[in-house]
Amino acid sequence: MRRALRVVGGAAPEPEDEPDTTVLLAAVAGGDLDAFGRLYDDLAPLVFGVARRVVRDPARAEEVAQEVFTELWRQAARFDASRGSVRTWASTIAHRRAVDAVRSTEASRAREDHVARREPVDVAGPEDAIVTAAEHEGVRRCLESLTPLQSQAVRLAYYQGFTYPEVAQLLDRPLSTVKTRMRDGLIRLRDCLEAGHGA
Amino acid sequence: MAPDVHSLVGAYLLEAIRPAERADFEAHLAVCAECREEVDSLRAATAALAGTVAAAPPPSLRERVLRTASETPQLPPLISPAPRRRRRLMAAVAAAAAAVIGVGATVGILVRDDDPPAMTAAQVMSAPDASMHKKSTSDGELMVAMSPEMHMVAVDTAHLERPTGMTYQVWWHTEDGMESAGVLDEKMSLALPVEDGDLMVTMEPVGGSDKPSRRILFHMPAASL
Repeated sequence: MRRALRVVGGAAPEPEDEPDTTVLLAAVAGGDLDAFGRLYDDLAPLVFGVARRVVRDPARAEEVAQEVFTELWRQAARFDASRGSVRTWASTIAHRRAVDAVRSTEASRAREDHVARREPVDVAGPEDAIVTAAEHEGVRRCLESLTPLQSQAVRLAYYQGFTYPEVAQLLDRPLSTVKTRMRDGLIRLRDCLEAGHGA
Repeated sequence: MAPDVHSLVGAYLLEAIRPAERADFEAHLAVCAECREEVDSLRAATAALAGTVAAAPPPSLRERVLRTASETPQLPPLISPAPRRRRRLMAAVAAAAAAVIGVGATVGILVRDDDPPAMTAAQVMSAPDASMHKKSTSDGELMVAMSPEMHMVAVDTAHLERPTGMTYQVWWHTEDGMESAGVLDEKMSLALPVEDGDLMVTMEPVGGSDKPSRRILFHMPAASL
């Protein structure tokens, strides 16, 4: 499934939609529930996966996934294909909701303690995924091309929902360093994906 | 672009930014094309991180998601701002003409209305973090949405039956008392900044009132929105 990472017209690497996904979304925008069911089948592992990884608690992750799909249903008519793929759109909403959820729960207090004590944290990123599609191998490979600090900063933020000041504390690095590593880490990730090194 | 703001691009995309900084960063994005370009160019790569942790949800989730969708109204597509602006302008011209010939139109409000709003209600309602409240009234359904990220509230009266000569007015009831936050007049919706107080929506005669009438359609503290 390498085509998932193919560079399209030199633009940013898109987790490219199956041709059907955009069509499906158009039908969903018209209130078609059957199409929404098929869209769910396409996107559910992505949405649930990111929710589960960030919030950890499977029941809470289900709630988050449910909220995300309700949001996709409500907003379907407002999706703007010129700003990215359906998968990018859905992943962005899912990640944001998951991070909001993890910061708003009691768990976040425990996390703060954890940060305060600078306990060793799980910086494992993708490794514990239940289901991994072959098309994501490229992203993993590109993540490995990051410097250790870039990779840790990106992973702690994205997969565990830590803010950059928390990440700075956990890694015992200055705030400015962490901010910069997050940015240049994403730039390196993008460039690696665009160059097709991950594919 | 200020180097300090620019360095937040990564933290912003990773949702690792503090809420106060997010608002500042987004305000900066609105005026910095270079920053928007960088954010857009990195969005797909950031979103691709989700794919590495894909996991099958429990089968029962599908039915719940579909059931909820079947009970949830969908938002209409965003209307491009250009025609809306023209409509507002025409309304102002018509009002000015009406005033000249002595038909009592409240020019002050309509002229103020001609300022293009910084943000439309549709933008607030479509914010990923927007929470939506629906209030059933005898005249139909009123929708109020709040986006903490934008720090804006949207009031949408498109599904309310509007009696002739009447409109809706939005109020903030704060420590300083009751203050009008805007009159909808011929508009269907309105976006306004969040304040520390209670949001109220009332029905008023066209042109608005100095104080809310008794017909309160919606009343909720901002903290609960």
